[in-house]
Amino acid sequence: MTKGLFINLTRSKVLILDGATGTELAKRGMPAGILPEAWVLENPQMFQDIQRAYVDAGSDAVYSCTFGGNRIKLKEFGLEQRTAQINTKLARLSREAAGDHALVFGDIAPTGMFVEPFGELPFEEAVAVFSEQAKALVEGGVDGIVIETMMDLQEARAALIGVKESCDLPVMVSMTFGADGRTLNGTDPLSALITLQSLGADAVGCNCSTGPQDMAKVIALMQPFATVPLLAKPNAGMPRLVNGVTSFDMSPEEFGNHAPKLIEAGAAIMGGCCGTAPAYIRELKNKTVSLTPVNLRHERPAAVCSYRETLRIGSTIPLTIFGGKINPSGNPALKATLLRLDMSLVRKMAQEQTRHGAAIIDINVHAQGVDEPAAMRAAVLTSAKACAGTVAVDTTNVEAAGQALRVFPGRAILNSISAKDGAMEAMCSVAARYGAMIVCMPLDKNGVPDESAEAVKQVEKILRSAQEHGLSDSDCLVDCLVFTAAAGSAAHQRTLEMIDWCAKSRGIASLCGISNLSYGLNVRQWFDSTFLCMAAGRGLTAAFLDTECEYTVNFAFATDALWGRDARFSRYIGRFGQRSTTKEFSDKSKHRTPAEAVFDAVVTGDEDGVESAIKNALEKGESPRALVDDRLIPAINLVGEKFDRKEYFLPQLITCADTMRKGFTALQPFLNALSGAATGKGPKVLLATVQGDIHDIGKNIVALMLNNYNFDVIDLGKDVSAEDIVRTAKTHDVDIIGLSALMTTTMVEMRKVIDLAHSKGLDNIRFMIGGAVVDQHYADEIGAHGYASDAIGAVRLAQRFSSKLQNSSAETNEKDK
Amino acid sequence: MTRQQFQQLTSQAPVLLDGEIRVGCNERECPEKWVLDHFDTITGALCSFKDAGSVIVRAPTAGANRYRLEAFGLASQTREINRELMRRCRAALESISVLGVCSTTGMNIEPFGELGFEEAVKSFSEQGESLLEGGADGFICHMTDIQEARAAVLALRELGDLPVMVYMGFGQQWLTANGTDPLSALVTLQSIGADAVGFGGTGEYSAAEVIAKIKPFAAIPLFAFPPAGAMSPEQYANSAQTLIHVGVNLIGGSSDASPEHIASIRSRLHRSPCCTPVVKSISALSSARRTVMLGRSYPFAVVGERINPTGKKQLQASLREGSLDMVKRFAVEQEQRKASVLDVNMGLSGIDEMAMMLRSVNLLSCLSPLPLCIDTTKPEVVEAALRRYPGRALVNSISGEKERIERTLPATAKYGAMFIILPLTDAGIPASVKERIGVVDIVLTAASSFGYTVNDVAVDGLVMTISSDQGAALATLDLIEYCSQTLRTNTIVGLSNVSFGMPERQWINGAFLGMAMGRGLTMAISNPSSDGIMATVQAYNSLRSHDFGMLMQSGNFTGIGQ
Repeated sequence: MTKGLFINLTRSKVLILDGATGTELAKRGMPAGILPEAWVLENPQMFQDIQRAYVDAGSDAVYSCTFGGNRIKLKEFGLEQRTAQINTKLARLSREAAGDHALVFGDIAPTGMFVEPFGELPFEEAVAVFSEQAKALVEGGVDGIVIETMMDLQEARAALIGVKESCDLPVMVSMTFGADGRTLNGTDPLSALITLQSLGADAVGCNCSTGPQDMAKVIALMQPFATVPLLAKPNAGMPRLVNGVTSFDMSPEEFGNHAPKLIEAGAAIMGGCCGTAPAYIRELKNKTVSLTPVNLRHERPAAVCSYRETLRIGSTIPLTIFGGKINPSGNPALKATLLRLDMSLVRKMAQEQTRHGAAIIDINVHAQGVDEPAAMRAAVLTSAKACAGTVAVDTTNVEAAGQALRVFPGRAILNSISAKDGAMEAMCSVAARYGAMIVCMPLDKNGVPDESAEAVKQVEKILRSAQEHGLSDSDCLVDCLVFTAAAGSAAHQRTLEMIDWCAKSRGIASLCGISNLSYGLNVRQWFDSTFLCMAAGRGLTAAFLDTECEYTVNFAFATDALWGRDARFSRYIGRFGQRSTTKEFSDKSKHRTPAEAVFDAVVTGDEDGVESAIKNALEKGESPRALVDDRLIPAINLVGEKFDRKEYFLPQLITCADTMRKGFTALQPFLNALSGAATGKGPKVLLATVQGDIHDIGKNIVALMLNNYNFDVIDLGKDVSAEDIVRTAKTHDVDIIGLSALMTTTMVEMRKVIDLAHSKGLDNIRFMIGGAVVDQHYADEIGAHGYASDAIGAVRLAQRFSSKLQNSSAETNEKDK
Repeated sequence: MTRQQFQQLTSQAPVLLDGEIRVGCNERECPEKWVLDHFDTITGALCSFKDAGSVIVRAPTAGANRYRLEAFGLASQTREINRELMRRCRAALESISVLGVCSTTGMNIEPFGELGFEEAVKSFSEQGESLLEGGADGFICHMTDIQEARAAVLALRELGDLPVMVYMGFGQQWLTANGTDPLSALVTLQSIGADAVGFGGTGEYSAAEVIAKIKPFAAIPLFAFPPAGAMSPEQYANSAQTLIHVGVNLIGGSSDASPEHIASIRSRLHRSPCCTPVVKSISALSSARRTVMLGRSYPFAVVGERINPTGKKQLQASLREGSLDMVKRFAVEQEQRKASVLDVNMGLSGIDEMAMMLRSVNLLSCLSPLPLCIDTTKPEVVEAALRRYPGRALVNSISGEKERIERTLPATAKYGAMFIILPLTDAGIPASVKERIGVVDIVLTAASSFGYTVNDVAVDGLVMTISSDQGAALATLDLIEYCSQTLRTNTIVGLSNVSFGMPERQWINGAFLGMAMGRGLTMAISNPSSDGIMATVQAYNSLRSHDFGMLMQSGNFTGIGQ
């Protein structure tokens, strides 16, 4: 089967795979503890019956019985010499059984060893093992290859490379994730997807692991980034030990019922793993036959990953910081270690840069006498193991680029490809083969162009070549050519124009070597940070920074906050706020009671989760009143205290208050039901920005906060006359009037309002005032009852007033008696 | 002669002025009175200039203001002396243009000296009115002090549609006694409506060098009265030619130039170029001692924000006590920290804003070389401060609000000050960039009817806090880009709003400044005490210039601690 045919097949309908084979063989008498491959060769009829049963039940494809058929596994049974023969024979058995009714995928599974750099099995040896098995399976007539149950991304990569280099058949790769959503050595679903689809897998997915419900979550994580169909082959629920035998708790019907959710989450290829049998596949087929898989995205996402972390690159994502320290030019110590392929310094530098905020570690090992391919390969593996970041393979040596990209356990960046004929094509080819992102460098045999228009032409030439090799714009970054500060203003202007072109005309990621600017100057932080901000202001997406210089990195974080690409300022506040909020709560969250979870939701500002937390607590029998009094209110009070202590900042305060509001709204119907009537809101507060003044941001924040603290807020807006304020106050019988003014010319209006209120006999109303130009002094002067310097202060003031109101009315009641 | 006719005259070819008439009186006599009494003795001289080809001739009325005549006990005859001298000249010279001459009162003018500014204006009004009665075709002021020149121009400007030329006599090193340089004089005088500015002085540079240097900034004709010294008429004509080549539009002779010298210039005029002004207006502010050029070709300008009582308890207290000590300190500190302009805001409850603003303007005019930014919402305070200020100030601000357009704009235009456009209206701050651009257009259109161009304004990017709206900074950046690239105005932002409510605000403020610079920002209102801000400004200026050698040698180039 060609890859094209496979793609078409999965586009139009859900492709149904088979179910478990091992358990079915056991049912037919295969003893425990023996090699299934050998038993099947001795009992071919039994196995073919199982496969036919799956095809009858609706499988469009079956897996060959070669799960343990790689040389390393077979060696455990002394059969390694017969590897090719066994695989070919087993493939033929499946081919015969499936006939014209189903496809056969040759099954490749783990060797049981960890692969370099995570384990002792050298990468190329793993590639050779899988290549051998793949060739034998092809020989046996399989229609495609499936690499399954992989727990190590690097082994999956080795297998994928081995298969791709052995045949042109479609290859599916499915990984196994644990309960924590990661593979055994820590790969998350998204990083697995990005790595494998970039490297050329024709389908990526998940098998074994869990039951169908949890697998839908894994598939949903992958779906938004997938350019290839997603595969889901879950177990029949969760395993249970019954009489010493593992069994699974889900019936065929239940199993089938979960299928539509998996399809909705993004699965296009489905089957069953442990505990499933033909009856499960029949249900699966029935439940999916009328469904169509969700559409795939066409362009690969602009994203790179290590084996445990995906990093997206783009204008809506925080600036991608490259660390460029690993470069022997001007660093004799590094050069000395590279000459003897000693990677200790590389490791240290990679870790340090990561700690200082670099997301991508650029690796350049070019120096006189250094074996560049060997050193690059070693350095890339070292960095991959030492830190969570991705690497940028910084070389013009095609061999070094190929070696490094081949072994990097993730999706790396090739830095860079110039417009030089010959080299350009060779480098594009290497990048495409290993699915790397590339940096396009506008440079040809005549050097670097002076004008941005000329530079753009060269970039366009590189992009054309990249396209011819199957790469698209989303796989590319454009180097916007930053040289030393002394290059003069024209050169800096050229850089800014190129960023404009990337951001506005082409819509492609831009990269600036900001740290080049002041290389060797002792004033580098100022140049770097200033030019970084200028470039960020034009829409820069990635930059080389001197990460050791905290000053510049701080500015990088600030530009993200300003560019609106640091959602809720979580990164900025995480860096600069005194304590990270998420940390404080996530540690405990596992052991929280449902009522405590409501409290946590408010304190962490979990807007999306508060309603379900409340629902959960109510279901567990918590009283609505107690949830308000003992959870929501103490929580928002704690938020206020944190704000006072500068642990929280305005964005969090607002988010938490919104969360509180949502929670309160969710509880309102229950509170009403309890009291038998609408629960009255709190005291009435009238807010207005006084006449002549249109500055109302502060007042709006106060209104929001008072609302969230359950005050009954009447917001008259801005530029409101004293007459209107007093009239409304009288009509609505308000308890408190809050006045705001930002200008010295308008603050005098406040006095007018207060005087007018008194002249109309409204002597019980409390006045509070705020705004940049007023203070307690002025409040006293005009007879206001209080002044608040910020929103939380206004809330406190209103609370104080309202408790006084209650006390005084209580006193009145006492007297009446 | 109308102003328009004067402009036309100077735009066709270089215009020949006269030389000076020698007066035969002794030192104890009042020269103007003496001339009036012996008018026949100068008729010949006057006519000889006319015959030599002078197109414009000056009446001998320079010293005939109330204060100078007072010294001879003739103050009460001020009007008569002026009117009669002018009437006689008019009669003698028939058809050619005769200008009334005003000159110094002999006193220092507020804020530099004892004579109140309005008294000076009044005296020039009196002299101007009587010259007009005598038939003057326009005026020329011979001045040595910028504030007195301003008083004269403001007085004469109001008398009608007549040209007012100002000749500034500089001392050693081309500075006036109060420290005004030729460029600052040009910027100040052309902004308040002088029709031509003349220069004379001595120093390291020749008049031709000075004029060549300031010509690119002149929106009005330039003129000179070169000294003849020992030069032959032929040599004199050569030196006049040099001046015309570098940009002089009107030329005459100083006291030692004879009618023959003037005639010699005339013989060359048909071969002379006519260097009309190359700009309509310029982006520049001036004080009495400095010009600050604004725009992307010049260093980034920081407007020091500290002289503003909002939120400053100590300053509030000291202003309430009537003390300007802190204003003085803030001015000095901000200058040391390399602010380019000083913002002055006296808006505080419980003080008389008008009085305090005028006291501050007086104080700062003398104390600081930095031009001022008059920051008030009151049109009458704008008017009074600008009238008094011996330079070209910046007004902060004019928005699309009705009162600003109807009252603040005319008050600003009267003194030709630059101003900040705040893109908001009576309805509030428009949410979209497009609407904000609409407000900028409305203000610019209104301003253009006063002769303003895009060079005369700076658009405020109007930064809102990102805490309440994560897209706020982007909107401001887009507005800055539009104003900078498309409208080609200056742009300015305040740097503290944006970070309101955020931790470690300096990073946000500094980053915002840099990002806005990337979009073309030319000015910021900020506290220059911030190392981060000023280092960013200096780095930006260095990145945009070529003087790296010096920079790299100096190491710590800001002089600010690392």
